[in-house]
Amino acid sequence: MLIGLDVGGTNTDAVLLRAKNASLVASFKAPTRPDSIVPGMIEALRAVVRGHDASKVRRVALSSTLGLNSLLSGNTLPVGMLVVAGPGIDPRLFWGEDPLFRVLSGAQDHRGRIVSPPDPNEIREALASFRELGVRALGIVCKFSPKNPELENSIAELAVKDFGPDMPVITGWRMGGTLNFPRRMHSVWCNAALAGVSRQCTAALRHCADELGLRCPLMVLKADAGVFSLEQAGLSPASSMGSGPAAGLLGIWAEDKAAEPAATPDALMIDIGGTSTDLSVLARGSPILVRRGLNVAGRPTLIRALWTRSLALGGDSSLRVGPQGPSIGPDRLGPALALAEAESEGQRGEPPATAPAAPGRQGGCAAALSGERRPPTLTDALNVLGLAVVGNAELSRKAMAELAGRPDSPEKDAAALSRLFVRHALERLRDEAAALLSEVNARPVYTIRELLLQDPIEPEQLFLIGGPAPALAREAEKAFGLPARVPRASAWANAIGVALARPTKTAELYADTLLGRMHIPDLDVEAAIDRSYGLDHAKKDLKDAFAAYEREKGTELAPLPADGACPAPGPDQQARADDDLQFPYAESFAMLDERNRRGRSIRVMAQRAPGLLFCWKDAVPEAGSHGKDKSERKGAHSGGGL
Amino acid sequence: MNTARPMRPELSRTLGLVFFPAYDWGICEDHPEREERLLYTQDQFREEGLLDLPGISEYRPLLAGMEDISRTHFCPPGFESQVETPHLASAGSAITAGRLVLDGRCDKAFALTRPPGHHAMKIVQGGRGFCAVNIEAVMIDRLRRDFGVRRVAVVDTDCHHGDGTQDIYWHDPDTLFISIHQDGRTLYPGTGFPGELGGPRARGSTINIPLPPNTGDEGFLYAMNAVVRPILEQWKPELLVNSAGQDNHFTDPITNMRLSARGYARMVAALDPQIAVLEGGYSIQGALPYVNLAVALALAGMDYSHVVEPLWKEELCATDAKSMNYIRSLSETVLGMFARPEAVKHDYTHANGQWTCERDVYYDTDGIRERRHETLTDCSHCRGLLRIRSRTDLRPWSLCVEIPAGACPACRSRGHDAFTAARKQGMRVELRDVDEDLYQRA
Repeated sequence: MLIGLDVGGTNTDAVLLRAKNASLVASFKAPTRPDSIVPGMIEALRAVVRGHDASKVRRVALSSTLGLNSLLSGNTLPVGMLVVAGPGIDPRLFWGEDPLFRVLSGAQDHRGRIVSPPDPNEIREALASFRELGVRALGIVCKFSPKNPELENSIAELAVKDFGPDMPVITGWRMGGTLNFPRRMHSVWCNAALAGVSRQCTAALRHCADELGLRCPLMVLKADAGVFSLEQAGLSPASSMGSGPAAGLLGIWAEDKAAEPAATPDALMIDIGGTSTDLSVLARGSPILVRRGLNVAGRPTLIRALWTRSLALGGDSSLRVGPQGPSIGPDRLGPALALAEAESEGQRGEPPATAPAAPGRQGGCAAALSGERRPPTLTDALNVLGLAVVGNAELSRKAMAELAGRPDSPEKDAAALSRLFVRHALERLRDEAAALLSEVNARPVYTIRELLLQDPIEPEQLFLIGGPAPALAREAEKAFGLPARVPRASAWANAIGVALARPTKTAELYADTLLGRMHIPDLDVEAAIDRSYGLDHAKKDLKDAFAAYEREKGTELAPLPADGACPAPGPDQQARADDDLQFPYAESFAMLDERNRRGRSIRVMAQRAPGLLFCWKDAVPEAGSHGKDKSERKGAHSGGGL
Repeated sequence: MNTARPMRPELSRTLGLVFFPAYDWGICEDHPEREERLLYTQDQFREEGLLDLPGISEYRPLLAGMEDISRTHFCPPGFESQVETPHLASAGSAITAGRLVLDGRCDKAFALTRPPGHHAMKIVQGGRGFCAVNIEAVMIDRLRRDFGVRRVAVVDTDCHHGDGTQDIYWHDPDTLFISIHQDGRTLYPGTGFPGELGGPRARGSTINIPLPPNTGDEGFLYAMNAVVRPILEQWKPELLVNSAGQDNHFTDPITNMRLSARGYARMVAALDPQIAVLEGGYSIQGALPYVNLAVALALAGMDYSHVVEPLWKEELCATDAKSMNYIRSLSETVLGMFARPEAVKHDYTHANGQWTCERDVYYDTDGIRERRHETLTDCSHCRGLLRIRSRTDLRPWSLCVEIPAGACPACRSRGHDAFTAARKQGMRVELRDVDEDLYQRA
């Protein structure tokens, strides 16, 4: 059996799946607490395991918003940064004034050769000042460290000697082989800053799993739609930031066989939430990842994530008319007015769970309590048109009619005005999608072959997910001129998707035969090589290193045969099962150095792409068809956080 | 508690980069212009996070069409045999850079592309100095058609004389070509002396500043500030293009100059071109990553003072006093010639209402010798019809006819007549009518 946990802004969903006949055994919704995600996860986990044999659970996978929430709320450790930049752009340009950011002397060149080491006295002096300033974690980053980690390691050694082994010390080369020094600095900072909270969370989950008798691997979803082990997540908590769109993608994959890689033409994925909508692109079913990395809380990082454009428009966006015409959002003051009754019920009892919105946006309660009518929402407009059936449609109609009665309203009739708003919303989505596609299609290429062969991505299909998706599907088909597929019930899709998510990993190999060195920073492999080393050697070394790494971390593919998982059908699936290590690029350049010696500079990247462990044959059931989802709330259906 | 957030440096201007290293194309593995050439530049740009700076963006090149090449060149052996996809990609990169600036998307653009092009002349019988297609000229001629720009200045800072670009615009008074290079007596292609000032109807629109070997930062900056800038201020181009060859660097293996990365950046900052197109530069590890970075930063109006190449030493980039004296007097000579080009003799003879001249051109890549016979109509209504007869060791005489921009009706019909007559004789002939954007051959 497999367990999937999806932590949303409103609810934490858990599912227990039986791999043998691919069926949903149990599911549970627990409210997500705004202050900590851990209690909700533990509650949901307990609930789905209850009454089942925990020893039969082969894997628990969870998606978490922990990293991002901690970063946004400032629940981070003070990090001292030591960087060696050498020649180039002044690194302070990417950082700003910060007494905890120290640029050391020394340099390493583009081949990873150490031009000059930093002065040890300078390092000691910086460490002493960090101690005084109360630093609790350290980040060490050198320019070009993916090509040679030696400088970073030697500085880290000094730091560990000075601060002791309990101090989290994060080195830049562990962020992987991608060349981008400023992003490496920020990624290191994020991982160091989150070291404390991630240690606590890891320990709490591990403890809970032990208590429940779950002696299986615990996995965490990353922003690239793959999972990695809880231990890895503890070391690199930043990688799980921004995994929301990834959970959505897995949800589509889990539910819609047609969305699986290679089974579809190019498609647009539109995840419509309560306050915002994320758009992403699937090229033949595979997500396009953002170039260079995710930007998180104002920091550019190396985190691999779906290439997404977000706009502040969702089911709960406020509708207004004004002198400038009708407007949608960007604010969310609460769920649809059709649910106003539920709201007041909520006030009598316990307060309804609210999305962790920015302070001062305490949702509908505030508006209702102050006695002021808040504006209707997009969901109310959909209700009026009969496209959605949410709460009391009469309340929606009343509110839209009132809006239509305002002097600025372009339409005097509630239905006509609702139609105008829906069209307006879809036009904005369409414009955003066009902008995303032109960005994606304008991505640079570097070889003649790619320049000639690379076809632009032209979506032929829409995948709509999120609460308002079913209501908008037909109108979206018209607006985009594309067929739309909507999961029949999205309530459990994301959790099932997370449960079935495959481990992903990318690694880049750098080899320089003149320096006689091969290095795979992502897999912590370094070796001496001779002059005859070539592309085939590099690919084999990378493949072997991958296998060794996966054995060690317990993230090999298909870890489920004992449970009788159904192997997915189709030649593509078969090929993937055989060996699905992909090589996005493998290049070998003839080098001629300053002394006219011939050698080769080799760069190979390998990856396990995201996907599902096995196909999900079972129809994803409607929410509420299981006995365990006691805490189901009416309000949860209005859009946000589903 | 780290409260600092990444600074958002406000760039004074936007820079578009068109990067096309053609990693899958080269002449041979140990050629100076090889696949590896821009590899470390790309590594450096990526590692620096250059594209994360607000205002700096990267754009994918378009592929130039054969019609773009035939707008600039004549090619008696046939374009199909001389122009390969990499040339179209490289020229397309330059065109993309030009469009970014002219359609207002970027203030500045830098095309880092290979193969280079500034030794490719108006007539292409083969490869010269690693070049087959003059990518700047193809760009300029396309931009003229698309955006109607007229007065364009090209400042060529490659260490080798930009003889191809000079040849293409030799008779064009609307294109100012200035080349700063290592003296032709000491380096390929052996031309580019101050007396080369343009054709008889375009005197002073070609300027050459041959610097002595071992000129360093000071010497280059002097020439830029004392000669190039005053000439540009007087000439007032609508568009300023820099043919940015990075082979004046003190580590370059095939030249003898002493410019540093920061020297390059200072020179570019002083020149302030709208478009820079990479030309040569063969110190691919010791110079290119740093020079290209410094030039990109200078174009973006950013601080480049930290771009110090690992091998840099002040004395390696110095210009000695003797050279400085030479450069000062050279500068005066060049400025004097620009002021009074008619005082300098040219090698055209005038007879029967036309100017004529003989030239020999050597194609070093293919080992071909070419003989040219140029005829320019001395027309009082327009620049005059240009006819060039060309033959090589391999090919018989062929005729290239150019009806120039702003041609008068008489010159236009003269051009078409020449084309028809040559075709009747069974001679290979090509005709271009610039205003009509027409190219035909027979």
